[in-house]
Amino acid sequence: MSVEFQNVVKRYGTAAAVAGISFTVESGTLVTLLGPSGCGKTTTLRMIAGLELASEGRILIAGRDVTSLGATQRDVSMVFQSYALFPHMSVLENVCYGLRRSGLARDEATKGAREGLATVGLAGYDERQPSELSGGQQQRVAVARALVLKPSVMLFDEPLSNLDARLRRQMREEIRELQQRLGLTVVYVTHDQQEAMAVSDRIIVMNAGRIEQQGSPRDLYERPATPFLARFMGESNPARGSVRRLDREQIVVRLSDSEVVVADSAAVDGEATVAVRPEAITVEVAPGPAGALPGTIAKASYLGTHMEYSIDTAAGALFATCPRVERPLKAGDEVALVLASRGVIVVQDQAT
Amino acid sequence: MSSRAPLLWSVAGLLAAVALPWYALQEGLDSGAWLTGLWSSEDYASGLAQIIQHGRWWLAPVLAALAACLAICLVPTSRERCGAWLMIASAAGLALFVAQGLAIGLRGWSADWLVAAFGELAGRQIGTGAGAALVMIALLALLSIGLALRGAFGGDAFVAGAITTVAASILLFTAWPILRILVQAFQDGDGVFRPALLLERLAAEKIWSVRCLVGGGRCGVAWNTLILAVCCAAGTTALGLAFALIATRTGFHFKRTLRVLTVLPIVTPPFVIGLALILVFGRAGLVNQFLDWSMGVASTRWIYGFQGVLLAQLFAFTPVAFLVLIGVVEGVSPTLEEASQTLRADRWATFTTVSLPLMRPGLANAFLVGFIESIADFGNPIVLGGDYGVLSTEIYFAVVGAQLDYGRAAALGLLLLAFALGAFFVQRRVVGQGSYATISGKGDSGLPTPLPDAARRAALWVAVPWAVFTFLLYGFAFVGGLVKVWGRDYTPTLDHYTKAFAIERTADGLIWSGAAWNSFWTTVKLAAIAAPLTAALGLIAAWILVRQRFVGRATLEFATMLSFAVPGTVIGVAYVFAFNVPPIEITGTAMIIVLCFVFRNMPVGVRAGMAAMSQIDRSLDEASATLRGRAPQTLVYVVLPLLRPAIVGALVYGFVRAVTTVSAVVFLVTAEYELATTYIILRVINGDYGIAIAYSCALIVLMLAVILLIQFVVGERRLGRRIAPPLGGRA
Amino acid sequence: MKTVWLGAAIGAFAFASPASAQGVVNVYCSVQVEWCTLIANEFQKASGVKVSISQKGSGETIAQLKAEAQNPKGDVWFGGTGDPHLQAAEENLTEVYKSPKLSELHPWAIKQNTDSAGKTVGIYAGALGFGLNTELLAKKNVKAPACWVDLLKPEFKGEIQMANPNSSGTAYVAIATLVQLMGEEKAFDFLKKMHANINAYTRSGTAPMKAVARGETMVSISFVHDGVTEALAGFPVKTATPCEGTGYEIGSMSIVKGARNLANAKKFYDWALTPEAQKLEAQAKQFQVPSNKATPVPPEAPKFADMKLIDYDQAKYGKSSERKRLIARWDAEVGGLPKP
Repeated sequence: MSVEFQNVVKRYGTAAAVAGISFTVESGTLVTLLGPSGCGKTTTLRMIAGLELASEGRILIAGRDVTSLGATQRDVSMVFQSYALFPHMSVLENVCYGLRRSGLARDEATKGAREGLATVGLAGYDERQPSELSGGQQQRVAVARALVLKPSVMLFDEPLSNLDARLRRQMREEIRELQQRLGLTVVYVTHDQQEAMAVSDRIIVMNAGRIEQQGSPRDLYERPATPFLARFMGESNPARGSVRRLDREQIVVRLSDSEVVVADSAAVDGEATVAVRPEAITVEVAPGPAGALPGTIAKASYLGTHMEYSIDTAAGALFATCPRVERPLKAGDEVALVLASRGVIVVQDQAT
Repeated sequence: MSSRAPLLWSVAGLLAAVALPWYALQEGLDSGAWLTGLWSSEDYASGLAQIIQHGRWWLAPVLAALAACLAICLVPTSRERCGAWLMIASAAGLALFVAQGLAIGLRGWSADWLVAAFGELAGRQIGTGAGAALVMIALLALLSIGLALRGAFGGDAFVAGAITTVAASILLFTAWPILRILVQAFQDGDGVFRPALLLERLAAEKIWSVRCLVGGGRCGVAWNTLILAVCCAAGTTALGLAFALIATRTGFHFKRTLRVLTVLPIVTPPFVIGLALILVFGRAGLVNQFLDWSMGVASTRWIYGFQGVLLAQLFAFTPVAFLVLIGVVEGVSPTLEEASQTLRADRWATFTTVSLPLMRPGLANAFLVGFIESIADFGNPIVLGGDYGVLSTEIYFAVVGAQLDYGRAAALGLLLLAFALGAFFVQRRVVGQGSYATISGKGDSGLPTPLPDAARRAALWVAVPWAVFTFLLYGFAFVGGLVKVWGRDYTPTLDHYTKAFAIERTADGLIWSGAAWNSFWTTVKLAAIAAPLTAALGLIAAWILVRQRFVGRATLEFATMLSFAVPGTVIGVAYVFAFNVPPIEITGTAMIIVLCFVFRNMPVGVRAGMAAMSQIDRSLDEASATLRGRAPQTLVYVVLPLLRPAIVGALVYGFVRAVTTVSAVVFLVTAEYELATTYIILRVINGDYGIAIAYSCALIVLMLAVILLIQFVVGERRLGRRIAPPLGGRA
Repeated sequence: MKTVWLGAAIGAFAFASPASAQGVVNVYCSVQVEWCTLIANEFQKASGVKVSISQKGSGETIAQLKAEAQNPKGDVWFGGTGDPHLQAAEENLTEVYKSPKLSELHPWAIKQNTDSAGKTVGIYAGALGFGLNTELLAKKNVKAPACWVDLLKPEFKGEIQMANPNSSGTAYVAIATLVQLMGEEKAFDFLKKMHANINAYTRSGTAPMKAVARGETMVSISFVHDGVTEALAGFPVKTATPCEGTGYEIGSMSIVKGARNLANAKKFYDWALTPEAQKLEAQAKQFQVPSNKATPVPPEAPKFADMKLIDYDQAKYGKSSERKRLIARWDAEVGGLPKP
């Protein structure tokens, strides 16, 4: 076990930025802290790094209690959102820095740094200044600099937020590939759920200083525990509906006049909040099959690979995506919506 | 570090208590005479010997606390528990140290109520010596290590040590003396405490009279000070803005010259501008003589009074306003101005509705600086004020004049402090909460919009004559040192220089026979010691204020600024009051002068450091920390290289102000440690303008040389450009 | 961190070393700097005692004595107007000493000693009078003032400068002189009338004479010996003493209470009263009247014999209470008047 949080609280004055969280990070896995801004994910990351000290609780890294130790004394390294490359040092000096501070002789440090740069594909860039590199290259220098210390845990603080969309995809693949190749333990912070799903073994979703839910990307997407999660992990339409249990494994969810059978073992009979994924809605021209939900298209957008529709229905306004682009519908068309059982999720009300 | 450091400090402290004289020695440590008397001689005895042999029992608890610290270090226990015990023991030791120092003085108990409570005390004690000082430092170090072990200050002993060092030194050398003198505001001549006295002193008609407005007569010094300060602040801000706009927004060709112009007044000793103004505008000055000769206009004395002081202050402080404003004017993003122009605003509208409002924080800052410089200014009002009194001169004469009323001086000092703080809060109000940050990480590709014609013309019309006149003024001052007697006998001569700086070659070698050499070398030596200390302390203070979060940060920030707002004379007298008697007895030494320089000039180092530090992304420090760089290494390898311009600034300022300070050190100089400025004042008082000016010119040359030297040694930042990543929101 | 504290510790060692107490005398010197230097050098030669001299105005010196009262750093205070010396005596900042040389002095110098109950002694005296710029007088074609009343003439409107008694001992001597000469009511009447002719009340007592020398003002109320110094420096300065009579200052010397080098201080004190020491004054181009009867007086110096001196009551007018009262009255009735 590489990182363990036990009821950790971080307070600034009276306000709690992190309100008592516990989790573990297994060795060799990549765990993502995900959440909207202000949810406490970066504070949590900085508490792992030792840049903030916990107000309460215990933090263990590689089995050692590090709660009151500063960053220098912990076996971690970090890649910053801004990369934080030292502008007055060359690329090589930047990568050498941590090795030199750990007490390595200049030659050894240089050797280690060259290896690190080669690992990230930047061999031969030794004497460049950080300002002469592209954003992606700076990112890789930052990764190399953290990597060469061979820390118990490597931390990434929104590492891709300064890159353009294309580079972002490429870099996140590189980071994931590197992590798996070298068997690194990584804690990764992002607010982008797609990015989180693409790189993570496990995701910890945070909201308002608490852990909302943790699990594999698939768990979180398909079985969000709260309306917040359903909204935050991918798109979803919130709607009110009613639940009737068929058997131990299945329930019937009723939205207005339409019914759909859903695999669920937890929901109880009665009114419930239902999240409907946009891709689970099939849009047919009215009247459509029996049991379909009738509606009217309010807005239609063409997005190349698919269409997006906003549809007014008796169960509220729903947002749907439709892969058929060759015969698009237009605003005002009467439609019937068929719901696929995999994209209809009953979320427990937070009150219950 | 965590395990060895407290052990080393406890041992060092105990060694000092055993092997160094506890009290200050008359002849200093270097004579070595104390070595033989460490046990037996009452003067030379160590702390331990003082307790056992000489009956100074009150030192025992202090040493016991130190011994307790050593014991704690030797007992194996958990990190937190060790920290807690260390903290308790060292804090108790410090408290006992301070208590005995304050309670027992030259004549036994130092307060009557102590005598009443405990009866007469047989012993007495003199000033703190090397042994006692080291014990105190060791206790401070142990306290900070204890705090760090318990996880305070990010668990870093270096940070904890830096914070306690800065806080303790500011407490000792800024807050304590100022408190000592301000208490006087509540005391009558016999030292009896009467709070009502302050009101009485502050309500005096001499301070608040408005008779210059109604019924004729003179206004109170408070109004005089305020009016002068507001005019000076407005004038310097306007002029500074004109210069800054010319330097950045026009094709003006003499920008380099402008730079020189901004440095000159900063390296000018006090009085020089005042003297030059008298040489030019005085009744016997060039202008009046010319008018008299050409048109028979009777000479007037307009230069003495409000107008003269204001003129001198405008000359002296405009460069400071310029330096404050140039950064702000450069910082206004061209993109915003371009945006304005695409929104149908012409150049003039853009300038007035976008550029100027964006400069508002800078303008407010320049105004504040001008205001504070003006109210603290002493040299110009005393030379040119005539009978236009302001608070700073009033305070000086309350202390040295026929009144000899420290209470009144302290009360007036309090008033001055209130004005400074008031200005500070008004500035905060004006700048408000709005965001004016226009420098972003996104490359500003736009071009600075040229000034609208009307503004450009106005700026040039104001600034160019002003610049020319400044050079003329310096020219006259320079010539004034090269003629026999200004206004009487214009025969060129080098007499003044030879009198001050003669070097004779004799059989025994060179003899520095000039009258100024003694004060010259003392000044250079003390300023050279003070400058690096000022810069180091200022930058460390800035570093902890910007980068560390701890309880009392805001208070510490305020305390660092305190000595800047208090006029020099008050500081000088406060130092004599606070450090002439035990426990700290250092008057008459070079040390007190150096300390006065350091703590008086440090605020500017702090400000410059804070400004520079906040431009360096905090993540660079954090990156270093996660890369195993401990705090001192981060400071040395990452922060300081990026702070080079600020270091140069702080060093230069520390040196230059040490050379040019006068009012604060008047009471601290002795024959042995005479300073250049005090020597010059005596010359001015005696009317030897020639030699005073010659000396001032030599000082200006010296300071320019030192500035170049510092630039050369510290060097430029290796990377002119910094990658400035956009500051992302932090979750 | 260690380095910072180490630095502080080394600093503490390097500087906390006050001057040696062996064979030293610390003199606070309130006369002109050349005079101070001469005295230091000559006494050192004559006695072998090392002199550490610190030159400060008399106001600054008494401020310092007061601040240092608990732990004095100076031994002797040499020179400066008598009033602050009397004030120091009154506030118990100085030591009683009867020098064996007392008998050789002029009566006014001895009187200073008796007035202060032995705590100070006169070392020189200078009379109050007018400083006149001859060029300005000639240009304006004005007759030089010879008496106090001449100062009220309209042709001197805006041409007279005197110091402000709030800050200057010289100005206080002038006021005290007028009070003794005319009686208090009449004296203040005179000051009020003269106010119309005053262009500035300067902060420093010597400033008006400097202003006369440089042509900044036509007339000053100053000590006349200061005018001689200016005239010798080549300025068109003449002095006069008023026909009604005038007051004078008695430059004094005191031993600091609790002096660390008391024996040497006494040695210096005795020496400073000898003709050998007092003739150094002329060498430093200062022209007050020395207090030892046997001291040769330079020909340029204003002679007391040529002036009409009042019997200045140092004991009464040197008292702080009287002084505070007169200054407060001046402030209320004269200083605050509108400028003409």
